Amino acid sequence: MAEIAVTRELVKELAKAARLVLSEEETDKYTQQLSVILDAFKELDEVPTDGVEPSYHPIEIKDSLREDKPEKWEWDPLANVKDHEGKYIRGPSIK
Amino acid sequence: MNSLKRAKELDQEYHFMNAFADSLDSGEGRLKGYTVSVKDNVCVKGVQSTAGSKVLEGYVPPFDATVIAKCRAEGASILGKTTQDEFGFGTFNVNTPFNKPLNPHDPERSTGGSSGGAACITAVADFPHLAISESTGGSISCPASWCGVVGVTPTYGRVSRWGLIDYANSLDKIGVMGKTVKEAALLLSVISGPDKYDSTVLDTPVPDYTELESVEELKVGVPKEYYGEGINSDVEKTIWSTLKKLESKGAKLIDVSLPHTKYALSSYYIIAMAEASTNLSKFSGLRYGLQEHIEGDFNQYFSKIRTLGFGDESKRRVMLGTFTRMAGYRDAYYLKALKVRTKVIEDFKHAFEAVDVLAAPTMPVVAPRFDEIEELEPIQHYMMDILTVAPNLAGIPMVSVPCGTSEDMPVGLHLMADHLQEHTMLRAAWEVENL
Repeated sequence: MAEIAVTRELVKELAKAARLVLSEEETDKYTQQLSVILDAFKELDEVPTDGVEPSYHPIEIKDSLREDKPEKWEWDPLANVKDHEGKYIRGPSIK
Repeated sequence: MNSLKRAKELDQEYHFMNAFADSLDSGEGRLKGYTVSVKDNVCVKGVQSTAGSKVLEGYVPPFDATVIAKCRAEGASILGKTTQDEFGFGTFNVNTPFNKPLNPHDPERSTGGSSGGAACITAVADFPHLAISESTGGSISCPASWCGVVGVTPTYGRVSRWGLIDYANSLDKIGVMGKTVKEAALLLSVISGPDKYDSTVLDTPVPDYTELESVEELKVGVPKEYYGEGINSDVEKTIWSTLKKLESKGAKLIDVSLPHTKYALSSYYIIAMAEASTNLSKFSGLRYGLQEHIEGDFNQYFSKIRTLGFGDESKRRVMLGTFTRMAGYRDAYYLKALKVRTKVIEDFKHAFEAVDVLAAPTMPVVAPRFDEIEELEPIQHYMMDILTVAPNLAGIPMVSVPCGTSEDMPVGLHLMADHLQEHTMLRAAWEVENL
């Protein structure tokens, strides 16, 4: 793994991508903690993996398709929406 | 006294529940007479289900998870939701804004996590009770071990995950806890098997796991990487004393090696955090849980909800998971971890050519005290999972079965078996229970 310097700028970038707002104090804390954790992950470099297939699942997953038949749900998918008009959910504006 | 009233009394002392059902329904079937508690990340119709997170506070599922529907169909009474670390992110059940359970053997100590509430109520219930719990990296085995109950994590895909609030889809397994192996086996028999709503469920027939008998000439593998350095010597002594008794009953102890064990922790955390960061992207305050007055653009609103709703550990994992999937780093971290996972799986497959089960301590120490946990850094929390992550990464079944004490606290023996070999594993655990 390439040397990665975990800077405050990187932590801010990650927070922005993850839609999180961090205080200055939190940014400092996560910069230090993420640096320690990512440093520990580097030990994987010791394992030779040339030609090794990645395991996206622990076992082989077969496609399991059901009949293409419409089914009526017994429950209301909007049951937990606080702000809606009829079947429309109110959301923030998309700029 | 009915079990709902009794559970509420016990909860006053131990804090294992997040929400109770209004009343208990019951019916006919294999679980008639049993009260079943449910980890808070498994949806129960009409009962608040938060997965231990403020971001889901107020969420009341309008449907039952498949495992709950199966329990009800067999006559179980569904008690309510047991407390857990937020989304399963923790080993001590302290990472949650809701109830933090107390260890029934010493209230100054942790129950373990993340299914801490499930293990706690299983230990203290004085009425017929079984627990639905869930493991991603050891969240059933750890609290079962520290609370002195039986905790079974099945093969990945043995039990439907439909209705589970996901943590990491390639790692999550819904499992069970009970006071005895036989009771845990009963609940596992009920919840296993195909489900049209979860395409990852295996269609292999489900045996009646409650048919327990001795395994002739049981071959027990003792993986050297799970003993010695980093394991409390008194815990290890208790484990060895159990293994020697098992040997005197006719089991054969065989030394084995799982050479990639050391790397399982990093591989597990990279994969789990990457999957968690994508799963948690759905919490945006529109359809369920925490919802605020809508103002600003969508980025501002989503950021506000997630910043308010996620706890410290969730924020840390979401950022780490975002990093390991980022362009430029993805191959070095995420893809590398998946390849190391292949090596970990190969280690287990090789070992199971020679043995029926592998035996090790479930946890390297007994339940720590809360004041000790407060002193730990995040990386030290992760390292506590050193013995449970590898089998979880490989998706093999495992059971923690009580096998004695150390410092007057329970110690669990961890038995692991090859994919879909739950029955042999449970028979071996039953044998340990009867030593």
